[in-house]
Amino acid sequence: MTRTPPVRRRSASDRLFRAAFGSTLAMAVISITLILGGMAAFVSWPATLRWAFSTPEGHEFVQQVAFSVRLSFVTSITTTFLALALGIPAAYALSRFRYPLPLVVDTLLDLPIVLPPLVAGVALLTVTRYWLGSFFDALGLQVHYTARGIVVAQLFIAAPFAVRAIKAAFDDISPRYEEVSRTLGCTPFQAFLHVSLPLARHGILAGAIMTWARAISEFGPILIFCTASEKTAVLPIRVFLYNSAGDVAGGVVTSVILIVVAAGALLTFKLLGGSRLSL
Amino acid sequence: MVRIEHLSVAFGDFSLTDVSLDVRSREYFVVLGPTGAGKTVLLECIAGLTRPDSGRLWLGDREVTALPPEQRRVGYLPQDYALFPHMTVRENIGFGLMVRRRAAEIPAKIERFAGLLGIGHLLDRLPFRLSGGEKQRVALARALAIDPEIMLLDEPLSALDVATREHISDELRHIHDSTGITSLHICHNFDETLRLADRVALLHQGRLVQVGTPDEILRRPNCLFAAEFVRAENVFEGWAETVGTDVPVRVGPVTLHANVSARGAVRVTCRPDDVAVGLPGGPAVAEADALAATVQSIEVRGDGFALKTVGTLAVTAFVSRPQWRALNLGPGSHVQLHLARGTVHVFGAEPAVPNSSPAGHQAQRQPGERPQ
Repeated sequence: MTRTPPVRRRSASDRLFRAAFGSTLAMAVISITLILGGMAAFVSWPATLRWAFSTPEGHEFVQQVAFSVRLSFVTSITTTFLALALGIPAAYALSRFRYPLPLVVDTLLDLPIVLPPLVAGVALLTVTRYWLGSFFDALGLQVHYTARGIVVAQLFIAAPFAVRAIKAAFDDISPRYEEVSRTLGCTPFQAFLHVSLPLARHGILAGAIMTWARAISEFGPILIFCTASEKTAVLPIRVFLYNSAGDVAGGVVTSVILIVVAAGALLTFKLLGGSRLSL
Repeated sequence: MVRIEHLSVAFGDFSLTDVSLDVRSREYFVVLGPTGAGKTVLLECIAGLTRPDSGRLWLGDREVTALPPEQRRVGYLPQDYALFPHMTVRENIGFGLMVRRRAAEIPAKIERFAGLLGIGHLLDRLPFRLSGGEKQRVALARALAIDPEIMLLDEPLSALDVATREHISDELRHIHDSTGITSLHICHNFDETLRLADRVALLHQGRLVQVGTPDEILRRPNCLFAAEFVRAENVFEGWAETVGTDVPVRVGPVTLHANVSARGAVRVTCRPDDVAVGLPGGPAVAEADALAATVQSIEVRGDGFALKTVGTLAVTAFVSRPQWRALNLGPGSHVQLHLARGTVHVFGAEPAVPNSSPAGHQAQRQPGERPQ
């Protein structure tokens, strides 16, 4: 004989509480869906797809967007790897080492996150063009107004996200594990490599995803540091170029592509990491 | 095996002050003391995890004061075991050998220590699937696998239930005897010490108070803190007119005899099981200096009973069950007590360390009155 689960009877105050809080959740979900869905509904997708693959202008549009998708992926993935390469040791040092003026250091590291993006672009341009310009000229290296510059701009803004997420992961690991590994024969680097790094893998993955998501959607610093040109047209710049030229439909299509890419990344992140991961 | 000279360190709220200690080869040495005494700091200094402010450390013939932990060859068992959560039991045990490029020895070591500790059936498990006792055995195996010169055990039994604690305690001693490894074990429980230690160092507020065998600490505490820590129940204030062997010591209205090394105000102690109990006029206690007393209360204790008495001195005596039955004792019974010569121990009235007893407590207690 099957047993029916007990019926949970909720009081009136319980129902009111759940209705009030649940309705704010519903409003948020509905708002986001309406805004993004409303934008996507601006274009007629069947007609747009027919136009894109059967007209010369459409082919050119597809090529431009495809270039932007490739450029966005190459630069954001490069940025992510660089952010991890720099961010993991920095985060470990922040978590484990004693250093002077910790409040100042902490604030400095968070500054790129809170800076207006255009200000970040101005700062990068000033330093590379006017302070380090002769140095880069001597090397025959141009950073600003190039794809290289896109990585620099993305890194400046997105790396702090990596550092924060990874630092939190190292903070959650008891130093006792490293102490024991030292007594078992590990040097400090070996203790980090064999013990701390594997234990922090979920935080590192979360940091990588956050960095990549921020990098691929970065616009302001790239606009100032690299300008909005065909050579530096990552997806956000491509949207700006279409809208600036009055091509709202082109901007919408590119925006939807960006949303699909971002949503796909988020879903992948949640499937890979499960409930233990959070952004 | 371990030589510590004038070690001092201040580490947060914990400190060690001028600690000097010798641990002999193959000895099971216990560092005992209350919470905050500095026991873990001492262990961490030996392991190289905390740098002393001053003093020197030797392991065997090597001075290790400035050596990093990975060069000291110590086996460290922390209180929380700290098994690597991302490694199986097998990987945990083999980790030290892997790091030291002795991977070829891993299978033999695992077989040896898994057999010794009875953890062969756990090798493929992750630590989160182990019980407290199993974790401790795995942590022991991991520390032993690297052939350390000394085992450092940080309160290995405190997280275990009573039954497991006794079992693991016997296992620790068995492993020590089987491997012959020098062991330094820190704890705050004197009963644990009695079961395990060859010698004991008593630590209080970062200072070494007394070093000796468990029996020496138990029967001959050298200060009030030591006496109270080992729960000495018969501690009285007294006065010694002379120094020497078996000299008279006045304790209230009573004169006892003991070895005295300093004149003046002293404290006198005698273990309850060294107090002879008999009935008035009976044959069991026939000495002229027997004390008349009345049983105030009786407490079951192990294989016998603790009699708390009042009279000339407030003495606690221990009687076995057969003796209790033979004497037919109960609350209100009149008894004769005798503190035999050789069982009475005298130590200085001043505490060996600053503030080792509650402020004002000494002034309030009267000679012959039992300490609270």
